[in-house]
Amino acid sequence: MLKITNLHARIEDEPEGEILKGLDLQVNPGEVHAIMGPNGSGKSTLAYILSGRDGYEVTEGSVSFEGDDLLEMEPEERAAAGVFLAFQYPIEIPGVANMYFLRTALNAIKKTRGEPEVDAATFMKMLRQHAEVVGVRSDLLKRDVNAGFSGGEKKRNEILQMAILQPKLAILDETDSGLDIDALRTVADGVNQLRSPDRGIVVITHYQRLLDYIVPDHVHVLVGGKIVRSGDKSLALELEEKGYGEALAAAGVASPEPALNA
Amino acid sequence: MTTTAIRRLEPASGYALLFDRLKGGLAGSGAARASSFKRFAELGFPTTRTEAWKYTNLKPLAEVAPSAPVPAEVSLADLDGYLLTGDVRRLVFVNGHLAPDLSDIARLPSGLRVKTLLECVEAEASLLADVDADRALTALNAAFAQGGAVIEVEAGVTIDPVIQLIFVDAGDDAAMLTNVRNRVSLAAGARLRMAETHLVLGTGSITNVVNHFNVADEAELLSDKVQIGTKASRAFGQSVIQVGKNAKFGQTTIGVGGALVRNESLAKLEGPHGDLDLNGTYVPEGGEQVDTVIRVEHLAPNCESNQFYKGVLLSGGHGVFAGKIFVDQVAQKTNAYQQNDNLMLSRDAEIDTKPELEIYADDVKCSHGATVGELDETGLFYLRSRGIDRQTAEAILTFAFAGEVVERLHHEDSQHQARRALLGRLRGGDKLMELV
Ligand SMILES: Nc1ncnc2c1ncn2[C@@H]1O[C@H](COP(=O)(O)OP(=O)(O)OP(=O)(O)O)[C@@H](O)[C@H]1O
Ligand SMILES: [Mg+2]
Repeated sequence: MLKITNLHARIEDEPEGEILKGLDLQVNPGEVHAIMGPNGSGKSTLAYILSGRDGYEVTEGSVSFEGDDLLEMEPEERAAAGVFLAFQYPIEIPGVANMYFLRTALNAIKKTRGEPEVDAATFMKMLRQHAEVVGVRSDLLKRDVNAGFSGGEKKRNEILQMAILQPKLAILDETDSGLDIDALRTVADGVNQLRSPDRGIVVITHYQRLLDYIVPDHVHVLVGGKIVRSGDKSLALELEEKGYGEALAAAGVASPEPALNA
Repeated sequence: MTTTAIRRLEPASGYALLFDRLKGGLAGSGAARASSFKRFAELGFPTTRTEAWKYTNLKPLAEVAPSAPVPAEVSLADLDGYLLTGDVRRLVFVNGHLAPDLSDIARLPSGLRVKTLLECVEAEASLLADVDADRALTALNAAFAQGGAVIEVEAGVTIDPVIQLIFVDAGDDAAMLTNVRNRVSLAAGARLRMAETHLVLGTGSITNVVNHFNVADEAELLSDKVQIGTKASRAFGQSVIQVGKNAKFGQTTIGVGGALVRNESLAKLEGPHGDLDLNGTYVPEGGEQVDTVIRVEHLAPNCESNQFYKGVLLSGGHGVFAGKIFVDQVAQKTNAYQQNDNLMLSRDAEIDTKPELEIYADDVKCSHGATVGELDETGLFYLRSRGIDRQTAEAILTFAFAGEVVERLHHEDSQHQARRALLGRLRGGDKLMELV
């Protein structure tokens, strides 16, 4: 469903540094992919480019989503097509109530797809159910989007949005960071509920622990803007044990902190 | 040309002609009316060389041949969406004259008197002369005003019903000049909530309003003000506000529409521990200008004042904010704040914002700030990444920006009116109408 071929990208204002340097990735329906990699290797950049954030320039390569050129689509078109990014740093939107935002989003997507909109009462019921599952307290639904939410509450809120919008391709950028152990389970449950033969999920994480709960079909190591290694779930265990040293070496990048076993 | 000639704009002969035509029918002392008109003619309209009018060109106003207010047919249905619901008493003025059929001041609670200017001005000659006569538009108002309300609340009485004053200008003559004068006096310990609604239903008009709010010791007056104009309408307003010891005055102004809208406030905190709250939002678009000019005077110790104004500047819109805080030598322990935030939604919009402090006491907390910014791109992206199109996302964020002022309107229906008017103005706002 998602095919990334030889993707090169840089920040628009900084013509010098390429961040993605020939990235290939294919996600088929039903698969869960984990992307791991050192800080600054380009994981969030990849996620933003997939969701259509301004400020990046793709200099080479292509991204197709269900046969369409994803890079040609506006962010809202991507959302309607079923792409969802759970942000590493969710944005606060003062003055806009969380539940109102979610309902507007859901109905916008439905409208674009030519599906009937959801009325207020039905929506509230559905929202309450999902909120309970992902552990978002009801007062957070009434508050402004993410405003004053704790780090963990923001992450749960992202998962709530995902549960409501039911994307085809969900990209979770470090949704596990900053979560307590219970929240980690909750988030993982949320993702697992979404797992289905026609959905793809990309989980960006630094920690093997999340992958105990969300068992990936494929694990990739992203270093220096490229996928340098791919494997099955055992790769995550190996990385946890040995660090990124080998992977960095393979990418021709010097390890900032040589791993012990390297 | 002499200096004075540069600093005043000669009113066109039409003003004098109109006065000569109408003076026989003006209520109150003919001599007082004539002297007010003379004062107006002497003062002339201010030019852009006068600091307070730097950004506002009154030449078109000076050159107009103003016409007399004419009777117009306005029904309650025309006011649909602007009538407050619940426990309300209202006076409706159409083209500056009381419309008894649309008004409802039956069953006034005891301690509250609501009269029209016309009823009072014969008996109280000073009614039209009780505020600043050095302002040309005020002198003009004193010469012509026939409409308006005189409201009094007795000491210690809390009034439950909300008083709504509706001023409708209707007709197809944008040179029609209506003058309205209101006075609201709360005796010691009284409490009142009111709403001022200004609606231009026709092509446009020139509205010139002067308000005098007198809030005695321990009293509290809260006022919502909603102004709806048209592409051709011009509205000038001056509010003189006096706040006594431990008293409170709060007003929130929402304006949408009008070729030129200017709201001037002069607020005096005259007794210790007085509290003043002035809020507002303005949304000018192509060819419109909205001025907010405020002078807050702290004349006694321990008072607090807050000015909170937010502007949304749409393509071709021009906003002016000039707010001054004056703290007298005796006004120790003053807390005075002023914030003016502006959202520029277009590169061809203009905002001139000038906060000013003049402080003669040494133990005070004063702050003022003005910001001019654009919509937060990160926030926009976040909304869009959830499927909301760009236009709607912009409308949502803009609406949220102004919402902080809207929620300060004390009456839920006023908030409703304000939200509808704001959304009606924003591209993509129609999709958010179910919000209000
Ligand atoms: N707007 C920007 N301007 C300049 N450099 C940027 C910008 N965004 C990202 N970068 C740089 O691009 C590189 C990749 O950043 P990215 O956020 O994609 O890393 P990451 O893999 O998600 O890291 P982490 O694990 O810390 O989240 C970093 O070196 C970062 O500093
Ligand atoms: Mg990142």
